[in-house]
Amino acid sequence: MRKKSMLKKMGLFVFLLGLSLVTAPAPGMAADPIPIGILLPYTGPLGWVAACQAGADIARDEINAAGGVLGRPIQIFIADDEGKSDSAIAGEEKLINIHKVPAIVGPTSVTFRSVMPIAIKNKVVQISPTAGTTALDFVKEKYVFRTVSSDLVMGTGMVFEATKRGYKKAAIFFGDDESAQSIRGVVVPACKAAGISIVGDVTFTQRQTSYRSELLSAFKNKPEVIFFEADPQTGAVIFKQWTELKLGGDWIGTDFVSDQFLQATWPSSKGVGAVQPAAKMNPRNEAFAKEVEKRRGKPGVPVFTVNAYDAMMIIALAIESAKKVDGEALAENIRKVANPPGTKVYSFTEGAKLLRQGKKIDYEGLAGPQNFDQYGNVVTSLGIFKIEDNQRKVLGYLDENDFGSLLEKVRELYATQKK
Amino acid sequence: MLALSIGFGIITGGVLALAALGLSLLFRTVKFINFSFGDVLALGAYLAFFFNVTLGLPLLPSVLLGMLFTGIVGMVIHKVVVKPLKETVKAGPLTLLIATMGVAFIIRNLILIVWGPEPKMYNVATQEAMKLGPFLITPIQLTAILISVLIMVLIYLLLQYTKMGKMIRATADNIDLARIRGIRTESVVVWTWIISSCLASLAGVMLGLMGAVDSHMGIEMLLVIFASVIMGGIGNPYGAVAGAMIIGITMEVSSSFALSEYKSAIAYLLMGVILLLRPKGLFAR
Repeated sequence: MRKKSMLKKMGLFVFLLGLSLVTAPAPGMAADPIPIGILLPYTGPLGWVAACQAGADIARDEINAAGGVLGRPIQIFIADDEGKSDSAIAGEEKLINIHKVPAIVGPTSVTFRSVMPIAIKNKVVQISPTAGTTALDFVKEKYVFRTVSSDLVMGTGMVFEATKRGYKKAAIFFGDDESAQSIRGVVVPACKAAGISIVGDVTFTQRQTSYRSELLSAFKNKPEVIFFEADPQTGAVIFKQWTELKLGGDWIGTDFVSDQFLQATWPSSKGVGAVQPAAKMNPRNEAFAKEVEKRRGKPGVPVFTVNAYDAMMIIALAIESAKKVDGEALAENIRKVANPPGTKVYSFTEGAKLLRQGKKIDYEGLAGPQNFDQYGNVVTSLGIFKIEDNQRKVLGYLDENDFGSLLEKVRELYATQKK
Repeated sequence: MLALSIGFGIITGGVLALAALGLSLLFRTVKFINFSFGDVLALGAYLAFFFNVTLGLPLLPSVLLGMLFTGIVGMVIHKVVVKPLKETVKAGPLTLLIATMGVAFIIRNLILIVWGPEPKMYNVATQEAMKLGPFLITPIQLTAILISVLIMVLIYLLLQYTKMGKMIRATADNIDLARIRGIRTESVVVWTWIISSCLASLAGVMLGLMGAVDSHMGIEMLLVIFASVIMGGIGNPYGAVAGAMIIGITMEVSSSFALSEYKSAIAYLLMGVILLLRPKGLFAR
């Protein structure tokens, strides 16, 4: 009997000790954490996207090490949208109703429009580091932001790279999902604007067992360059069968040419290229890349990682500027901390210090200036990649200064096409 | 171009036929739709990957070991899930379909836990296609087609000319009558599960050799396999093989006419038309 009572007491002690550990604030921070949501596909065909969370984690750690936002640490809550609308809605509801987040980082193009009405209704900021879909280009909503360029920028960059290589004949080879079709919708007018003729145009369903006939259709008129987007699993089949059929040509892909894509398609994808969001290398970005590599335990910075870092930094600075944790106030302060006018700041410490002194700031992101237009869009830099030696090698960078004139023409053509 | 697409269709259809044969054979004996068949197919492909890449064995023994262990998994599904449900709650076809759907989820998530979500490749170099008459085919695809044909012939011989085949057919026709005649029907059912799972495993490896091994490959193939089985006439193994070839060729040919995104839809449409004309399938008895 005494033994039982002793056991009960010990159990209670362990329970209370555990509880105290769970709710214990970070050292030096007594206040309640500020919950911030992350909604990304951690599983499913888009599971590779979630690797970008490393950027948000690094930002959180920097913010918390600097004393937190309004003296409170940031706490991240994640939800898996599986790349599907129903799971995205469930995840969004969980983050808003259970964790009471004022802002959510994510999701991707595939599910963004499914969760957007929920964010707007609940006055929660939805800031995506990955959703490039052109469907959001002219969405003017108070709570909707992106820290990654529209596909209009990436698609134009892809075509610009092809013109730099001197190509005149192209084929387009895209999946039938929203993300791929969004970029296809840009590549077509961009080719027209750049004087590249489209000699093959294939839209395919992802995850089939054979793409041989599709490949033959695309290569029928001997294109010099093939613009494409395919998920890693589909890419594995496409490039294996492309190698078998000895079709040649130069492939330029999108942000889907990720580490996971490389892993799934190597060695068949040798020589395949991509133009995708990437941070230009400078000492700040090099230090960031080292930190990412240290945390992941392998080389390379996953696509969208810098955009996720910027999203978290902008949220933190906007809360600091609003002086309260509230979605509406946060939304109203995002442009105040990210856009000019103001002193350019490159870290949370600098930004928070100036804000506390009542000064205006202009946060400069790792991915680019992060200046939001009226639709919550930004223009960030692009990297040119090529798969060689089982690695995604960087060949160079592009930004608006390089292809601004082509981008303007594409914007006009795209707008006409939409009308 | 058309001839090439027909050739590609034969390659796809050949692999599909193996899977359809396995599913049809099982349905004929157990009289319910085994929804875990697609994931058993994926598991077979992963097991062969384990022996081939993780343990470094050559492809052929890896495939055979993969088939062996997948066959055991098939037997376990029968012994642990299907048989107890039938015996304890007299589960009908719908209950068993849902139960095997649960098994499918378990297998798929086990695959994700063990091997992760990234696609895997066998330790086989990518080969270049060669001209074979009007077709383009790689040596490994040609081998796969020949093995498929050989397996189908062996299954035919097994069913028609061996004692086991006769017992399988008798059990499929009337299990009670077969039992009265002294056939150990339980043993026949177990062997059918094993053979069906081995065929699924082989089809999974062939799919993996043509592209990549991936955790969703089974569930994504399942609809097409069902379509092949239904088109050929449910429970008719030879009909399932014919249905698979028709579907494989239809999908590839429609892709060559710039209808790639509709290729599955066209195959299902064709299935619908055939069922309108022959409601029990092309080769229903």
